[in-house]
Amino acid sequence: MTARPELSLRDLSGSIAGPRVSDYIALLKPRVMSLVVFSGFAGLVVAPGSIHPLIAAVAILCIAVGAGASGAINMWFDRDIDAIMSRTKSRPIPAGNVDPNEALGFGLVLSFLSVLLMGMAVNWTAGSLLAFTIFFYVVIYTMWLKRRTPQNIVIGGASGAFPPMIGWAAVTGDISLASISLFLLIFMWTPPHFWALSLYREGDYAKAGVPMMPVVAGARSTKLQMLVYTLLLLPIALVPFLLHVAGPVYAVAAVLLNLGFIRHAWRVLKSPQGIMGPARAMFRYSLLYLFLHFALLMIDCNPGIIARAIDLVHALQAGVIE
Amino acid sequence: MAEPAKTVNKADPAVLAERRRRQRGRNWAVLLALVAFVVVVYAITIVKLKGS
Repeated sequence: MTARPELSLRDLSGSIAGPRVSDYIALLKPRVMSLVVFSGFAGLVVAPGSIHPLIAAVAILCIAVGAGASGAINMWFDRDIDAIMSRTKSRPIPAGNVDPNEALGFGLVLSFLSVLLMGMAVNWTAGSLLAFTIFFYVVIYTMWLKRRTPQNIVIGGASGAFPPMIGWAAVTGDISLASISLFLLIFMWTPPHFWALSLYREGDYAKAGVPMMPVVAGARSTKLQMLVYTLLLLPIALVPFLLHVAGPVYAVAAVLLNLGFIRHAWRVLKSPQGIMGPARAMFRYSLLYLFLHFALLMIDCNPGIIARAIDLVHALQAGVIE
Repeated sequence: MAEPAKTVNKADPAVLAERRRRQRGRNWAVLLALVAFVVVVYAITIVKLKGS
């Protein structure tokens, strides 16, 4: 006789025992949020001028919540294809842990609150940019482009490129050529970053009917385009230096980082069909590339950044004591 | 041979207890979020008033 398997209560789906708090956190796509927060913070640090530490913290909080909220709305809209793809089928909605309408409501409320708080506490330029970013990601990318064109990630990538501009606008209250250069950096980085992922997840996207570049144009054409984007990224990465946002330390590091990116793209291009190691390595490198790029930008344009961070902690402590 | 399916009785006391546990978790999360929001708005008001 076969024994009935023990049912763990912790594994019960949300439709039976209700959603967990962790399901709502998963709706906010915390891993994507961390990169968005980091680039937004970089924009805030690099921007000329000063901002009260608390207002700066609120700006970062609003960027994080706004990004998470758009992720929740994206999961609501994409629940049908998320259920098909192995990478996404365990997300809270396809796993049956959160009701789709609850996820939509959660995303809409957080979007509204993040924009309102950003506008009222920081400034309305940053608030408007945040609202436009959410709109761009949800409507332009998720609802319009994602299922219609292989250029989805090229145009839709703009939504992920706005956070440094929002951080910059939080300090200065405006949009400048320098903040646009930070936008361009992420904008041009997104296609090779995402196509590296979709190269080794091609089957998933094909199964779900999402016209990602490798599915529509084939692996060879995608690899070639990835190389072109990494080559174009080199001069764009130097724009902050040319605009005197950053100094020579950044410029040298940017060239080295870009040469590494180009080398990865070349290795991906030369890799035989079906060998996914180079694409995986390029995807990992692309994350490191962006992180180091913005970290160097912050350090180079603020040589005393560590001392300022200590001052900031002291200022916050003084504020609490007062 | 196929594994026997896991069956769940929604009225099972253990399932009901788990449901209550998760409900309590959500309630605490909402409470914390609301308190945090109030604290943030309060602090922003103080900073803005000092600034003006």
